[in-house]
Amino acid sequence: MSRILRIDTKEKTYSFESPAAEFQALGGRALTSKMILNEVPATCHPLSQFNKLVFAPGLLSGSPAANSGRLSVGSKSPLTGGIKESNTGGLVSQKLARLGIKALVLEDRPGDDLYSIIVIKKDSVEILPADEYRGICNGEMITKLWERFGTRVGVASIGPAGEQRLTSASIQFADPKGHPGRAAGRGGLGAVMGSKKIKAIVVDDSGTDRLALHDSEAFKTANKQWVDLLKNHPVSGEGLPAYGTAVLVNLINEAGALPTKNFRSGRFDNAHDISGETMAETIEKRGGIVSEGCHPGCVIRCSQVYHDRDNNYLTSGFEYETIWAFGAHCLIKDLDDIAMMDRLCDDFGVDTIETGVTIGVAMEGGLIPWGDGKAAIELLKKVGTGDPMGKIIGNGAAFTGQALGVDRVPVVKKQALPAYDPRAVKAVGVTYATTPMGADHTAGYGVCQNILNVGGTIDPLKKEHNVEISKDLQIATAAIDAAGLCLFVAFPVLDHAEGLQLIVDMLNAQYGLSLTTDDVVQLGISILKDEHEFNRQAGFTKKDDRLPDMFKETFPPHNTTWDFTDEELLKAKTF
Amino acid sequence: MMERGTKQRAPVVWICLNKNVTGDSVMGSILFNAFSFLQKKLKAKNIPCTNARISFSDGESVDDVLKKMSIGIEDIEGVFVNGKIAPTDTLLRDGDRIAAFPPGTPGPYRLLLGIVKKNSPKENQNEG
Repeated sequence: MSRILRIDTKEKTYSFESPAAEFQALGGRALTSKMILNEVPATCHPLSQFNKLVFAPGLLSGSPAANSGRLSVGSKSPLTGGIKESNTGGLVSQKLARLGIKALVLEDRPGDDLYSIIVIKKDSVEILPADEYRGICNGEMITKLWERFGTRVGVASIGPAGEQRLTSASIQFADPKGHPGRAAGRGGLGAVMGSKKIKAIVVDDSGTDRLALHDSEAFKTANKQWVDLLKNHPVSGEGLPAYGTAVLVNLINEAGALPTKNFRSGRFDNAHDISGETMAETIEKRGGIVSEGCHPGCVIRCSQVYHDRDNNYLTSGFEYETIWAFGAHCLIKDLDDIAMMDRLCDDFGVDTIETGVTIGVAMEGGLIPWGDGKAAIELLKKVGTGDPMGKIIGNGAAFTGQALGVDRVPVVKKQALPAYDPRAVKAVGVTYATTPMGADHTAGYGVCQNILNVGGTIDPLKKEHNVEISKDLQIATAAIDAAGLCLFVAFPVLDHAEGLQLIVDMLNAQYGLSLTTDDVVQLGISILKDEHEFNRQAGFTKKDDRLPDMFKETFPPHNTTWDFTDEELLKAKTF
Repeated sequence: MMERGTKQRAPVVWICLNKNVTGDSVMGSILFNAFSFLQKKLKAKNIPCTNARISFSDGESVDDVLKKMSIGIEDIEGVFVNGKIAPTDTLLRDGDRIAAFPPGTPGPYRLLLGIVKKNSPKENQNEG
């Protein structure tokens, strides 16, 4: 049976334990959130010795199931002060699962200022001195660790932002090519890792056997259909591989929902310049890679490698939300400038959404001019140096807004809003307001059977049905996160009735269970209940589920406003 | 519907696909965009499809515009008319902003914006 590996970061010791009964059936986000609720005092300071950092592979991770290599990282968030699950690709999830590690838990914190790295192998766990790596950026860090421990080991690391314990600090993960293009980005979990003085975690599964499957034939049958489903659907089989998530720039702009100039309007005049179509053309022209997976076994392959003007590697995993945050939000129209900022974020280890929104807030405060990409790059570079201005920017949009005396600060629970305006796609707005994570589009991205029961065309510009749809999306997403599946499997699962059943079939075949699709929905609900309970204990109330006043402004081109009452929003949290 | 009238600062390409464009048969123009694979396809045929200004005659619909560009129904998953998903038989009005996109377009708005409709294949969920 899989075990839980606990690391005492103060004493530099480790222990394995069998999971408690209530943890046994859980994985991914279900496990991280349950452990944080049970083991972390909700009122503790997130950077104190009382907080924990939990890494848990999803339930299907490590198996041959396509697109199941996602990892949940859970903690009390230094950014929001509430519970956090940040989800990432990379190599760590599948390797932990194959090593039989259900969860890796970092506990306590050292009394001194010396860094360590954790190296996990088949027959050993080592906590090694790592002060030689202090101050090193994530790209170089992965290179050094691959040189030392072999290529293709899984790496999770923090950069200078995590070392400074800034609240937008991410944990970056090596992708299959060794670029730091994957991130547990949101919520400042890099600062928690920094507080525990862990510079990096290396996971090497060499010598392990394949994951044991209870019924390998049934698993194989279900997975074959699952692969076909993902490959044959036009979104996961064609659209995402060709253009990545950035294909959304033009679409969301056309829908009048692309937040522009700090959420003043839904259309950006230069959307075409920063679109997925332009990105793909540029990548092809410069010899980059249009389509690659973020983990082995991914058949969607929505990631990419973007080269600079001299045809050298600039960045990878260049996402829609990143392009929006540094682009339309800041009125920056040069895709190379935006790519450079994506690169800097990965290297310093800060969340691209939080940081892009923060740069826009800095423009709002007059620190640099709107649309000035070069000034934005120089401002962002300060985050890597420890400069006081860099510390302001690296602490996110709410902190920067306060520092600069700005009253237009687009955050919920102090976390920056992503790339869909809540007045033009109202169900996403309900998710921003009510998810325990703070403003997060991925908290309500998937779809499941009960969503389909809502049916019909929901007008995104009106209030009707948008609370219900957000609630159902949040439930489905929580379940997908627990399974360790990529969120984009939701598109074929939406369009094909057998999709959800195939996920259940694979879970049953792997673990010898007899789950139904209803059980999966109940799992999603139980995760959300745990997370809401943690936040309640931490002191969150309905006032924390409101969008800022700036969203009462009329939003062109559709001229809608944010008009939900506290009572209406509460329904999205009532199960 | 004229909310974007002052916002089109991006370069606009004027094209005319209507063979009858002479004098009084022309009723107006639309702003046209194509996205994703459709954009690539039209660009390969040198058909302007990024902020292209297209003229139309009285009584013409979105369908007519698509036909003139040889865009088949299989090439389209949805069409925006002035920022909202609309049927392709929607009649054109002067100044309309039209955008077409092909199957394969992701996003949480698929359901929200009505790209995936009640009568799409998923209605058969209980039969699968």
